[in-house]
Amino acid sequence: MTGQQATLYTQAGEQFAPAIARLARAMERDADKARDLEQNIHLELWRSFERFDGNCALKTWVFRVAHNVAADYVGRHSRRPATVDIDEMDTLPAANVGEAALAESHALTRLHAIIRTLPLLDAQVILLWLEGHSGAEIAEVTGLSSGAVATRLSRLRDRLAAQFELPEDRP
Amino acid sequence: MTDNLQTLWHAQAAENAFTQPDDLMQRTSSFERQMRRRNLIEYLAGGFVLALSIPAAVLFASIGLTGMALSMALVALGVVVVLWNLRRRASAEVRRPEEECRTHLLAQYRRQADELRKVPLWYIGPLIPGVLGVYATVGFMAAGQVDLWPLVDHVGAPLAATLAFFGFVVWLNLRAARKLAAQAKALDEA
Repeated sequence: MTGQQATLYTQAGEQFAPAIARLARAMERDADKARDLEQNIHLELWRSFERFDGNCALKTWVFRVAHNVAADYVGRHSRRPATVDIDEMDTLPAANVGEAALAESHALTRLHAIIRTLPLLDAQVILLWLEGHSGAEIAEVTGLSSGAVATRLSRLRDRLAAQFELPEDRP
Repeated sequence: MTDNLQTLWHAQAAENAFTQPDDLMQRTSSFERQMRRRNLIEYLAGGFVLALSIPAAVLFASIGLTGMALSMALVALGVVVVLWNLRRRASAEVRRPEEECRTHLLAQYRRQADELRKVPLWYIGPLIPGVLGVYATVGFMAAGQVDLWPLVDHVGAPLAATLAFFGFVVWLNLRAARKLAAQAKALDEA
């Protein structure tokens, strides 16, 4: 363990722990497995801080590690439903309001269900946007161009508005 | 609406904290646990085949059935090659989760597609000589002692079934590899 590694880990924990928990819950429906995924992200972050070179912001580093670990997790587990393109989101069934919905609001359960059916990169873009990242920050984390992020975000937000049957708001 | 969604989103997990570093020291990731479990199953299966094929090779050699002994030795050698390949491939994996998501996903898809495409070479291929050897030896031993059709029936049909099974496994892997390659292509163009 190095001093820098411990400092960065503490700093990241203070700033981003809730966001990492939200990411894990969005990617894994089962609460216990989501907690396991969350701890995996903590572990990978801890290990990665040994390599942190300061070439990007701590926030960018943390979200890259977190999203990549989550993507690896999804890639190894076939329980994820078949992905649906953004433009086909209208065909999505309404979220199954079962036991999980007792613990979460209906809207949140639906949002999680939609995120889990998106192609991984789209899911990452929408999750980062939900966390409040700017287009430039999303581009830096995902590696997409700013233009590609803007296009995806616009389509995703339009479709989300349609899914939640609420009027379109400002772009 | 979007502001509402972001507010709703941030209301979750507001009190969560990171796992203590001391607890992380004891922990292995689920990826590592899964790899260990998979490798353990593969090694146990390989060990089982070796435990059968090596004594069988010795037994056949001791009673003068050289062809069968050689075939069993080839089966054992094939299993050793597969286990060695498993170990080599597992240790070659380098994890760099801090790279950009698109790059990471692209690498993940390409690596998986590549592994699946090579399954016939590193997983099925090494087992083929031993299996064919067993069938060939039985066929040669029976030739001249039984008529052609019973021979085809008793050796040809199981041989065809075995080859069909290997072919099916190869086809499944190549199909999955094509699917992953298509996903990688789409991502590359994103």
